[in-house]
Amino acid sequence: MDVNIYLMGTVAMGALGAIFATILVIVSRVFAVETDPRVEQVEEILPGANCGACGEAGCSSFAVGVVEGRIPLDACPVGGRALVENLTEILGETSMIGSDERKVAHVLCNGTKENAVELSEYEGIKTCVAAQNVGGGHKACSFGCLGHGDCVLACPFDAAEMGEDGIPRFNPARCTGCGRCVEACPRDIVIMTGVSRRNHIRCSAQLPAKEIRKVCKVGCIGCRQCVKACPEEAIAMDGKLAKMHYEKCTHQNECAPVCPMNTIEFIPEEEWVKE
Amino acid sequence: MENLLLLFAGTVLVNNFVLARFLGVCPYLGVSRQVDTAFGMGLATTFVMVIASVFTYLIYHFLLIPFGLEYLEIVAFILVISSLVQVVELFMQKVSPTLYRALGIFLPLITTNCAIMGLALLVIQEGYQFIEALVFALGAGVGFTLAIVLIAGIREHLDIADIPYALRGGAITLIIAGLMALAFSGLAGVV
Repeated sequence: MDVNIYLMGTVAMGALGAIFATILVIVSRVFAVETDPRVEQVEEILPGANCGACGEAGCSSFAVGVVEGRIPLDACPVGGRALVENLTEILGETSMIGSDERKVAHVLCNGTKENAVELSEYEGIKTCVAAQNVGGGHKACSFGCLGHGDCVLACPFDAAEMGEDGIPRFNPARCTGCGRCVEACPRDIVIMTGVSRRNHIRCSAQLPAKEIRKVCKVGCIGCRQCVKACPEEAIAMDGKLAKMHYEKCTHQNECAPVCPMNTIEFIPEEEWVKE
Repeated sequence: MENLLLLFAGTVLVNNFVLARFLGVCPYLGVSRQVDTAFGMGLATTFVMVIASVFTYLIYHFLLIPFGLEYLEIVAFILVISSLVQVVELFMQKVSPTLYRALGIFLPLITTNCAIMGLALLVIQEGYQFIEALVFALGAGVGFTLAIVLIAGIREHLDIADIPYALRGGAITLIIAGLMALAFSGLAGVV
């Protein structure tokens, strides 16, 4: 047995390994890529599940995307609201919530089971999109809420809840203003507006007064009473419908009492979320 | 010159690495859901194959043979290929971030693939000269890309096809792969 052959192999492989290790170290120093330190910080607070639910390959590519501003902060369903808050802390001003006021969702329809007339009985798949596709929906009002809760399903933060009256409620304390519900609604009646807003015109129907009276007890008939009553001129007509211009509204609540149909909502002090 | 062309065509079509030699079947089945990613994988593989064949050739002929260490070729090649790809990756991340992102995770993944190792060993086994080894590696990479892009194209169509429930997913993919290998076997003996 020649011991040399073992010695030779060990030395050669050891030398080869050492050479490659040295080269690797040098190359990694010379070609080091400077990365945003925030990427590492973000990656640390992510759930680390690498589940891909955000649509990225994993948590690290999500971190890069968030720091680059390519991905919205709330795209991680696992982290939820707590994560969004932590991300906002790290990323500061780049936060999508970071404008002057936090936005929350409101549904501009009060066509509850009691208020709105049902055209037919719908027994199909329990989503608004499906119901909408069957002859344009089961409600007599073609603008009103269908009440199957596509917005509730779309909400990643459990902020939306379907009321027993068939109209969704949004919890302003949990809503992050991500806008998923706005996208999900096939009738485009969910809007995003500042959390401090107290007056809402809860109707989206572009219908003449006569039609409205047939289909809904609380629909806007376009009587212009609120337009006249508002001292700030915050309400204007949009076709046959009164429309709130939130940026002008100062919550004096001149509009809600004059509305003959009780379409306009005024959120009372105790329910109102102060920021 | 003619020899090299024949070698190239033969490696791409007749002795295709995936469909005739059954090397690199893992990415062939694993990364062939979409044509885009399949093509990226093909590029990364071709790239690593060419580089690996150059370096393993040099290591074998100028280090292993002079010291009589041919029996260590597998160990040496693993070492060479894996360190090499890491160096190339670091280099690319700095110099060409676009290419780095395009090849993405495939580059480190392909390092430990049998197609790469098989190529390095085949070059030695067939006794190719340096230029021949290069052409062989390029042909192997192109052949792999061809095979994986072809099956990815077929699988994209399979997604909308009405396949019997029991055959969905992996089963039908294996059947397709078998049929493709059968089709390529028709070329056997041409070169």
